[in-house]
This record gives sequence, structure tokens and C-alpha cells, in this order.
Amino acid sequence: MDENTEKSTRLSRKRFLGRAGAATLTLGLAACGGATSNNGAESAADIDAKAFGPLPPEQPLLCTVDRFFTDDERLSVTAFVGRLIPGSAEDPGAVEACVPAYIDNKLAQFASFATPTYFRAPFAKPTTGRIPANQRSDDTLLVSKDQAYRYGFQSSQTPQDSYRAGLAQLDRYTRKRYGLAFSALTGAQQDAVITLLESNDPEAPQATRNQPQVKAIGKVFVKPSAFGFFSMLRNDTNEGMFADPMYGGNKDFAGWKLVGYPGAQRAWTPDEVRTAPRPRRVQGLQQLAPMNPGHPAHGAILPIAGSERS
Amino acid sequence: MAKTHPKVDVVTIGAGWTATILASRLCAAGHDMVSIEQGPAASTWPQFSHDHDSLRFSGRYALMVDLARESWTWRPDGRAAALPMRQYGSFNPGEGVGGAAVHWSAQLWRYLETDFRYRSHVVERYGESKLPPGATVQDWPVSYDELEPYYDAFEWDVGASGKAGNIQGKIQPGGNPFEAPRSREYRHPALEVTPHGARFAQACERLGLHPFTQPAGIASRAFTDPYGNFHSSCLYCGFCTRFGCEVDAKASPVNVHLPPALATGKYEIRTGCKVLRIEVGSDGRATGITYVDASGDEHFQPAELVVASAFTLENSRMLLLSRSKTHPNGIGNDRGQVGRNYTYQIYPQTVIGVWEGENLNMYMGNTCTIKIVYDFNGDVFDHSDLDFIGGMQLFSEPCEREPFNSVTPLQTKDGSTWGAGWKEELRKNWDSYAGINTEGESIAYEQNLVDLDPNYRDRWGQPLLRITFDWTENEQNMWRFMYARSLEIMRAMSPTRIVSTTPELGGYRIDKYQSTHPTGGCIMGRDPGDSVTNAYGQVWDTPNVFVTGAALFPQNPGANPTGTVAALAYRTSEAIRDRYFDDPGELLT
Repeated sequence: MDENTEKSTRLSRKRFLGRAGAATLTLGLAACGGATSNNGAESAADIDAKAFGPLPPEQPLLCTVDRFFTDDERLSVTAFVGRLIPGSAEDPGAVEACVPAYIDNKLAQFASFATPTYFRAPFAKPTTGRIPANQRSDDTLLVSKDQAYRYGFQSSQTPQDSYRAGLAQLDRYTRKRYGLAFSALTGAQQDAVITLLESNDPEAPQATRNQPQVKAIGKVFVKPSAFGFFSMLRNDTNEGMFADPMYGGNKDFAGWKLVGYPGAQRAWTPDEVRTAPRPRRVQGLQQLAPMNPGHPAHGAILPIAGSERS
Repeated sequence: MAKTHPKVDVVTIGAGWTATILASRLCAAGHDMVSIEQGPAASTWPQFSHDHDSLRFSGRYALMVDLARESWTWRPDGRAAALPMRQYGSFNPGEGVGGAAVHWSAQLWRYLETDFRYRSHVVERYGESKLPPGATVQDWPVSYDELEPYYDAFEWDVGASGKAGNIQGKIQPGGNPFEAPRSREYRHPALEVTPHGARFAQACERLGLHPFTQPAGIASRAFTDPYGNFHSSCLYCGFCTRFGCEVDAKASPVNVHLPPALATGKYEIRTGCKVLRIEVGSDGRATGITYVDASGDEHFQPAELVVASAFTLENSRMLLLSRSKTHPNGIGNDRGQVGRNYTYQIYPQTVIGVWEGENLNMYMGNTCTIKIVYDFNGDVFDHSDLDFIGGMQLFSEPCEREPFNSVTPLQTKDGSTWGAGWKEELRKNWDSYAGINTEGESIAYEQNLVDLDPNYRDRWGQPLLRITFDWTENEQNMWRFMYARSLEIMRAMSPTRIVSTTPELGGYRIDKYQSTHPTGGCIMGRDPGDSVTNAYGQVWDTPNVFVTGAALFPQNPGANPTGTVAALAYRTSEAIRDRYFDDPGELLT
């Protein structure tokens, strides 16, 4: 998504003619003049499979957390995700499924955002005061605090910054309240802290949000907000636990086996759709051969050249 | 200094479905045409040959417009702050050759006869006072009967699957009895339906409703389309919406209309290029379009005819950005009509149930392997004693469930979505929960509109489009009625327990995905005083500019737009091919 690497491509008519000529043989369309002998493989080589965003890693990522997080951050994140989806050696949870490594790799790979994000100013500033009409600003726009959730993600922090700042806030909060780092708390204490973070949900009932402890943690978590931090951790945990193992989490399909998902299959028969799946091996992208490798489907050559974006 | 290219007959903004439909007809008739496409090239192979990657396509929106470059701002009303959709929520416009029609769900509909004469119908049946305050609903300038041959041609070309409910006025068992008459049966039988859909259908039948399988632009049998493209039958793989189809079973511009267009040698697509504006000469007619390539160089492509064939929202924006001496407020906007009648689609789930111990196969199939009832859509039911106009489809939750984004709807009994208890819930019930979904009408109101944002700009410094939109009392009332109907169906489906309910629609919010069906903004009509274009999408005040797509809809019925978008494009391309060039610049009648 870096604009410097985006290229435009002009598809010349001559190039089209050549490819269309090749397609004509298969498709039985009216022949057009100037057909050359371009073949399918050559057409395909022009097309960049990465044009629509990065491909998954070629090999599954390792279960190590050493690219983005510091040692202290690693301990906190590991403890946190281990409470969201607890596990053991026999019944893997987020830690056993390498979710911390998934998050670490994601943050290291994307200096800004892994998902398309409009990240230009002005940024929103929630307020309980009046919203002036026709606001014009280059840096800040006021938005009603109780309506802000309807606008979705409006942070001016990148995920790297949100993790770094959020984990520091978490540490500050637990040291003040318990005198300990988050990772040193008991499981029950960790759950209590996570529950407070979650209870800051702007859509939660007012009685929930008005509890003194919920308000207190909300004062420590300024940026990211308490609920914003919780949501980020939970979303990344679910991604790591349940996305393809190529991305570093879901080790040995732990997440998919937990929910009974057989993984990426090429096809289901009509009978299976109507009734039940026949037994299948759980598999992911690494076990799933590309459809028609090296061959355009059915000889129908689609004469389009590529452009790319990182 | 912009580089000027040789003049062509037609230039289009974007290379999505309507552009490729135009190209397949106009280029075959000898016209040369260029499409300027902001995204990359796309084809079945290799882009979609290895695409069962939930994270890349669903989680990271690989086929969608890159928001780092541009987005859309929204505010609920004229007093609130308008903020950009910074990450994907409400809708997912696509980019690249084929546009959003590459990743569409292929739910293929015709609108109801009454949808096309909306205002007249409501006034005739219920009186003027039935219209909600501020409603600006209008009749379409084209009737169902006029559009039927084009619906038929498109559905046949893409090899649609379904069961007709009304063939030439005769109601057919198993189909949608409320649909408008169609001239013939679908080309292919309906798709398979998963156990959740089957249970939904049984419950609906017990309640006296009329369930049928979702008509789909997905082939249930392999076939060769009229252009010579071969399509495999659907593999029910479970990776459909937000994905390209690796076997061309799901119809798209790339596998239906693009190959014949390119085979003419008269069609050219320039990818990675962003249109900045339509240029206008001193006589007020369009002269071509200015665009910028990715290295930042400006180009001018002169053309006899300019077609705004981008996504709905971008078409409105392009007209508004094309300000000139003769059209100071933008093309089509001499009478202040651009941006009016912006509408959307009601889409949330009403209720989720769980059937413990049962597998529902929700991860198989696609969005169309479902059952639907139309008993409460449009005006097929009497609204005399109801406090709203409009209707919705109710349907069994779409399939192709992917684990990473489908775990949190399954709450524990105490509402938790993390921790040991939730993990047990996932283990037991991830494939045993499912909901009832809605797809509802969005009526046009004077306060809902799009215009240019004063604060936010795109990568090239041009203003983003600002959406001012919220649901009103009419939709809130409609929702409560549909919620009650959904609960009746859900109870008749005998779940072990109800997981969650949504009794109130609430206000519109842009953070949650609903549907990629923003509509209106450049609406078609019979009168330049209340529309932007005529019945062909030809802009009243700049007749050598056409608009295609759902921006033309005066208001949005309770069904997906693509079938009607394509039918209108078939009709317009025929008119341009057969009549426009005889007398360029004159309004088609």
C-alpha cells in the first residue's frame, strides 16, 4: 500500500490483440486482425498474483516472539491472550497455538496497518460539549462522545504505537492496583482486569460503565482507550487462533480443531452441503494445491497485464 | 502538462461490470473504448487460483478499494461531525478490473413491479399521507416490463441458477410467488441449500410463508456462456463473498463480458490510473477525462462520450468534482440534483439461535445456498394498518462461514465472548449456531444525501465524498415488525436456545459491515427538475455523459442491486450502440 511502489500499466491494443487472438481459438469468437502467437503461459507471466495485497508467507512462521515485542511486553501479551482463550498442552489455547508469535509477526511486518486504513488528519476528538456547525480544521474535529462508536476506528495511533502505549498503560494500572506486572497476577486477577477493560465499551449499559473501577481503568487508558485496547487484543487473538497457520498462529490447526472446522477445502459435494461432511483431513493453504497451476482455466486466456502495489 | 491521447469514441471511469457490458456491445459494433481503472488487473488465474485465504481476502480486504488512498466520510445528520470510514465497515467497494462484481455474493434479483412505480403505487393504494415525512421517493423512468428483456438476457448470459416463481404470469411451485413475471425458467437449477436453510424453509412453510432458494449468478451446472466462456459448476468451496472464483462458476465481468470485449481489439483498460475529473468544453459538453497514473503523471483522454461507470459513490463524486465555467457546480448538477436520494440497505441479523449437537455446515457453500421468504418484502403485504411503508426479505443466515470472524457472535449464556466458558461454547456450538437475516428497503429522504467533504482529501488532494445518512422512524418501525416475524420463524425452528436478539434497528452506523449497496446520488427520472439523468443514464445537462450503476436508483428496494444494474447497462448500451452515435449529444427518448 506504499504509494511509491504502485505502478500503473497501460495495456496496449497490440498486446490485447495478441492475447485475444490466442483466446479466439478456444472461445470461437470472430477472429480479429493482427493476432500473434502469445500463449497462455506468457500472458500469465504478466499478471502479478500479489497485485491485491501481500501473499501469505511461503513457510509457516516460527512460534517465537522476538521481532516487535520487548521481553516484558511479550510476557504481558502472552498472559493476556492466554486468558482470552485459555489452554493446556492437551487442550491448546491461544498461547499453545502461537498467537503471541502471530501478533508479533504482524506488528513487525506492517509498520503501519495490515488492513487498508485511511490515516489522514484531521482526527476526531470526542467531547460532551456542543458540536459547532460546519467544522473546518486541519488537525482535530469534535465529535459527540456518546456517538463516537458509530464512526468505527478513528484512532491516530498505528497498531505498533497502540500496542506499545497500551501495554505500558496496562503495566501502570496493575502496578498501581496490585503492585505487580500483569503477567505476575493470578488468573482470576488477570480476568478481573480484562473484564474492566471490556466494560469500558461505549455501547455497554451505563450502569456497567459507571462502576468506579471501570471509570478508574478508563482514566489510566487514555490512548488507546481501555475498550480499544481490549478490542485490539481480542481481534488479533481471534485472527491468530483461527486464521491459516501460514500466518504463524493456529499451530497444528489448534483453533480449527477446537471449533470443528476442516480447514480450506477445494470443494464440497452437493450431498455434503445438504447433509454432513464425509471425514476429511484438516488442512490449510500449505496442503491446498493451487487450482490449475501454470494453466489458465480451460484455456480461456484473459489478456490483462498487471500492476502492483506492495 | 497532461499527456493527450488520441481521441476515442467512449471513455469510462472504471472497468467494472457496466463498463465491460458496454465494451462487449459497443466495441463489437466498431467503436473504440478505453476504461481508466484505479486498481490492478485481475483474472481468474493466477489471482484467484490460491485464494482460500480468509485473512488475506476477508480480514485484510485484498480486493477492496485501498483506503490508504481514499475513503468516504459520514455523518448521521447535518449538525454532526463528518468523519472518514478509516477502516472497512459498512460497505466494501472493490477495485481492479471487474470491480466489486469480482467479489460479489452473486445474489441475483429482479425488482418487483411496484418498485419501479414506487411513489405512484403508495399514493394510489394508501394515499399521499402514507409517505413518511421528508420522503423523496420517486417513480423510476423505466417500468419492469421495459426492463424484463434485459433482466432475462443478463441472467441467461451469466448462467443464473434458481427456480422461477412466475413464468409469464403463471405461478410456479418452489419459486418466489411474489416475483414479477419472467419470460422463462432460470438457465440452471437452484443451488444446494445447507441444513440451516432447510430448517428455515420448513419452519416458514409451517407458518404459511413461501420459502425459496436464493437466485444466484453462480452456475449450479457447468456451461459455456453465449460469448464462448466456459464456466465450471459451483464447488461449494466456502470462499465466495470477498473472493474471486477460481473456477468461473460465480459470474463476474472478468469471466463473462471482458473476454468478448477484448477480442474485438477495440477495448483498452489502463490499470492503476485514477480519474480526477471529466473535462468540459466551452459549449458545456464533455471533452474527455483527466486522470493521473501511479507515477503521478497527468493524462487527458479525449472522447466523444464519457461514461461514469465507477462504484455508486464515486460516480456522484466524479460529477461533483467536474466543475467548469459552464457547469460551476459539477456535471449534472445545474439544478442541484447530484447527491439527492442517497439510499442504502437495511441488513442486520434479527436473531441468532443454537441447535446443540447439530452440525449446520455453515462453513460450506456460499451466500446463495440459503432459503428466503418474500412474504414481507416490498408491498406484497398490506401496509394499511402498519406504521411504515416498505419491506424486507427474511432469510437463513448466509453460509461460507470463516472461523476467524465468526467466533464472537457465539456468546455464552452470560454474554461472554472470551475465557474458558466461551472456549467450551465454541467447541460445542461453532457450527451449531445460525441466525435469521434481513435485507430491507431504504427509502429516500430529503436529509439523506452525498456531497463533497470540506475537511478530508484523497491522495491527490481532491475532497472525499461526504455521506449524510441515518435511519428514520419509518425504518425503525419496519424493523420492529420484521423482528417480530423473525422471532416467529426462529421459534418455529425450535432452537436449543436463542443466543442473541436485535429488537431495535438503532441508528445507522458506518463501523459494522451491512452491505455494499449504497444507491442513489445521480438518480434517473422523467424530469430534469427531480433527477440527474434520463431513463438511459444520460445526464440531462451534459448529454454526452452517461452514468451507470446503482447511483441511478431513485430509492433502494429490498434486494441486491446487481441484476438491475446490469439490466440497465444492457438497455443503455443498446441505445448508445443503435441510436446515440447517429445523433451524438442529443437526448435519447
